[in-house]
Amino acid sequence: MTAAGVLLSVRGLEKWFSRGRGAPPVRAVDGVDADLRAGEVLGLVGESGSGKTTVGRCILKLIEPSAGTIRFDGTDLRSLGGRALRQTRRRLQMVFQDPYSSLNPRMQVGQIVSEPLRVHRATPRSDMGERVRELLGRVDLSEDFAGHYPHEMSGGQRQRVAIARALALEPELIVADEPVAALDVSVQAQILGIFLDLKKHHGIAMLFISHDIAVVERIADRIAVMYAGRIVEEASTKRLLARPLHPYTRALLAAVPVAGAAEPPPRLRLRGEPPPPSVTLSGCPFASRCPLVEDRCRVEAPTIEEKAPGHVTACHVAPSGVTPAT
Amino acid sequence: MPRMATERLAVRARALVPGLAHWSLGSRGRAARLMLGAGTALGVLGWRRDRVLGARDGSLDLKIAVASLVLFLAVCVAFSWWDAGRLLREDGSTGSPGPWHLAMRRLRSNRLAAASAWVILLMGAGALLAPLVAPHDPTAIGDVLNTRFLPPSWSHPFGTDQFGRDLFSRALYGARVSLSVGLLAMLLATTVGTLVGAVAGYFGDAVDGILMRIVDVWIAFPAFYLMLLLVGVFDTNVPTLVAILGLAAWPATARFVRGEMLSLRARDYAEAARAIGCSPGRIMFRHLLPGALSPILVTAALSVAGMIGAEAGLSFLGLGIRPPTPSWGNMIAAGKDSLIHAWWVAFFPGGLLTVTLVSFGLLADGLRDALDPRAEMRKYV
Amino acid sequence: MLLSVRDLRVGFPFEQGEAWAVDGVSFDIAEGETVGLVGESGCGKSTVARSVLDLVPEPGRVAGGRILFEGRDVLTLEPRELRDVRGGRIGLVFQDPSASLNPVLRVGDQIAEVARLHLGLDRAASRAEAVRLLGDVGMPDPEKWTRAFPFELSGGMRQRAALALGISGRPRLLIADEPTAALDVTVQAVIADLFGEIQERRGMSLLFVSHDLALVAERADRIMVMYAGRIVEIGRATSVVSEPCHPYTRALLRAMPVLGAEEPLEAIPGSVPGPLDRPPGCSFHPRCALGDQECTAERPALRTVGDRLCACIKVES
Repeated sequence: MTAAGVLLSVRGLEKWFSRGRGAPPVRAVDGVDADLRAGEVLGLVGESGSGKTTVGRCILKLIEPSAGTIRFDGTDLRSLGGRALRQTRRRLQMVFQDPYSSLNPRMQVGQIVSEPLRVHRATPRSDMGERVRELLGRVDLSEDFAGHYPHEMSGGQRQRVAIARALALEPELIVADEPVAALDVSVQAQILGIFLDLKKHHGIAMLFISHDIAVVERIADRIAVMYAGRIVEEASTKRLLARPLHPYTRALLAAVPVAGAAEPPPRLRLRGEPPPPSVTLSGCPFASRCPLVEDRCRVEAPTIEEKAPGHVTACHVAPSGVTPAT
Repeated sequence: MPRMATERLAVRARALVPGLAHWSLGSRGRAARLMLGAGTALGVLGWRRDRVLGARDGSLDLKIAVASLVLFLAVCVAFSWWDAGRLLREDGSTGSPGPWHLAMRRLRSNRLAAASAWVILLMGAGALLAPLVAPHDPTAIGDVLNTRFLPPSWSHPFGTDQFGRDLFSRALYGARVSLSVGLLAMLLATTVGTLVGAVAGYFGDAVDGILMRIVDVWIAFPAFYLMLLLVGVFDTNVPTLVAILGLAAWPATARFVRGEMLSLRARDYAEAARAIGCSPGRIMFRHLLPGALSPILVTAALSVAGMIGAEAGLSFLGLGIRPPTPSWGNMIAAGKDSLIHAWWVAFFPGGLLTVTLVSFGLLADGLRDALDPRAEMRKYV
Repeated sequence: MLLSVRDLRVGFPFEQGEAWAVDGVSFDIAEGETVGLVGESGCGKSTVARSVLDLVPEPGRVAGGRILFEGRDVLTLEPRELRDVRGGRIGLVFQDPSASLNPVLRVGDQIAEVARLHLGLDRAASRAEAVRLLGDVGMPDPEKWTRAFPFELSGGMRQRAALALGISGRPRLLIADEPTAALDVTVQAVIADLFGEIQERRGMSLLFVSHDLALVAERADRIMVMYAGRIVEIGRATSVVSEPCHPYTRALLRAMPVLGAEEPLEAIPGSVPGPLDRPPGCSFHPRCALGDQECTAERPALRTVGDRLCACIKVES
């Protein structure tokens, strides 16, 4: 554990995909800094092209970053390879978005959940059955499911299996990539409940990636908003929702439909769409859609600055955090 | 369902006679099949007991034939015993059906494919048991003048050829050649091709580049001329033919498997396996290849047909198996000049060849439908 | 009433028998009104939307009921008359623009074709109409985009084009089947607003099908909630969302995360039954807080409870 219990520390993370000669490379992640403390949940929110999924995959080294450092418990993950990496993987796990493709259709649930244990030889064979039972219990699945195949189960049940698999090695950090996006509303709440339980009773740190900020609000301690490969604002959940500073965050919050609201919320509508990752930009990536855009924004890219304690944002025009944002 | 321990033991003991226990337990279909199988095996052994008893001094072929029959009987008994035990358990099922079970079920319900499978089995049994079952010695030339070109009759079901040799026995032995070349060459091509394709597809980049260049060069040679070349250089018996045909065909499989690997590698569950910390070997063999197995199987079934056809073609031209060893190909060649007055010499080997090729084709088709990964999503009738 | 659906039943054949994707659905849509059809996946809402145009995909079939549009039953129309209705009287916009837009034709040409077919315009006039329509749906520089192919447009723009295509025949009723589901949140809001604007400007009726209750509630006049092939509640949008009547609607609202709300989420136990394992009587009762033996007796009919219709025997009148 490094300074102040920081478990994961990402600095200057970049990921570019080359597209062959002549064409400019695709920038998926364009310089991301983030810290995650033990037991803390950081929500990563963004729309398509924001790079949030790529960040998650880079942290687990499923994708090789182009630049930057990823320090997990003091060790730079980029320097690890082969066996050392596989050892470290025990402590970092992932839950994928699509429950229909993240489980091997030819393996039974029991085998899926116990595979991490077998690969790392973490549990003696005689105790395997018991451990599987225990893991399934943690996600509220009866042990009868151990003999079933994924295609016999619903989306919500499959996602539980995926979570159980992620828990098998008792990781310290879980990256959840849109874990509830493919599920119905009624099932979403169940799965969110499981994640909340993991946070409260097992103290697992999480990077919760989602496009749905209402879902993220429920579980995250801090939220980072991404746009076009960069973090544009980060603050504690309460602060971000109460006093969003960046114009994109404000528009994002205004766009979320709220059921049961007496009056429709003030319409802060953006023109255009998130820029495709293939376009290289100068200046602020949000300039083309920003309602507060100034000339400076198109030329000079803003850097992340702290506008209030624990609240950072990258914007030339954003008001400082002390005055209430209108 | 018998409950008490002694009752169960009695049932289990009855199961030592294949099919007997199954009949009383209600699994009539399986009982019938077991009894039929074991009965046929015993029947053949009994019918040819003189040959069986002389097997110790006989040829290797004969020993193999007898041994396989005995083994088959043993398997029948063992399976009957084990399966009866399974049926006696509470619910009789060992859990839910996996994707393979479901696929097999689908295959069985496909009439054409099932019939083809039976035909192939029959053909294979005939080939394997040829030394036992063949009524005459396929190479025996007896009283030529009296026995040449005899039309099909009871003692010579397929007639005789110009040397008076029994064509039915020759056809059986010819089946050995054709089927073994076909199956073994397919195995060789598929194994080599799958390994190369899997490694190329999984590791990509440099490895992929080198391997695929080799494949490209290989494929650039027209297969038939390659075979002609190799046949001209080497002696032609079954092993060399297997090697030649197999080595001519592996690149196609490699390319195809590589394609499958590339697409499977991107699936989420493959990523998940990496995230867990699986080694590349484990990911390849435990996660990716089983997914690619279905199309590989289908292609394999089809390629058996191709290999059999290729062997028959080479033998027909005189470049494959040389007489007097019978192969369907050279039997057809021998018969082609007597088509008018002794049609049976070419007809039967040709007919068998056709039936075999079509059966493998239909089986491959059935396999493709049964193993279709979208079959599960096609819930509708 | 512009559209009156009565006892619609749509079945799909399974190995074990026919299952009802839509199990006796009845509702009305008046002129100029926006009605939201809301439900989770598999509840049959998309099937209902397609049935209105007799477009149920094979092997499904409409097994019963009537769909009265402008007084005539759509299901009994002659093919020629049906073709007139499709696009000309009732428009359809899909979730996936690739389902509405032909990828090998230019956007302008597709829209112009519909205008020619249903409005009887000549080539020049229909081209001009296409440009006008693209402008109406908020495309910047519509002249340029009429010559584009669908793949050149971004997601939001494609959906605008699909909307233009849907209204090009000047229909009186527009059916939108999850038109915003595939879009980013910020774009969703804009496109949903656009649908509302177009509806108002042209005085059309709009049937907005979605799984997102909140999105629809903000913009519809009335809402219909579907569960397992049946409608369980119909009422004014604002009141359904603020004071839900049916236990399913109530449970759904409590399970939806709402920005800024303090109350913890309450998950609905169990999962949605598939079309083959629907429980007897009320399909929701096994998961319902109020469910008991009485609920298995017979299927609850939609009856008036206060200012709306609700299909539950446990709710007081």
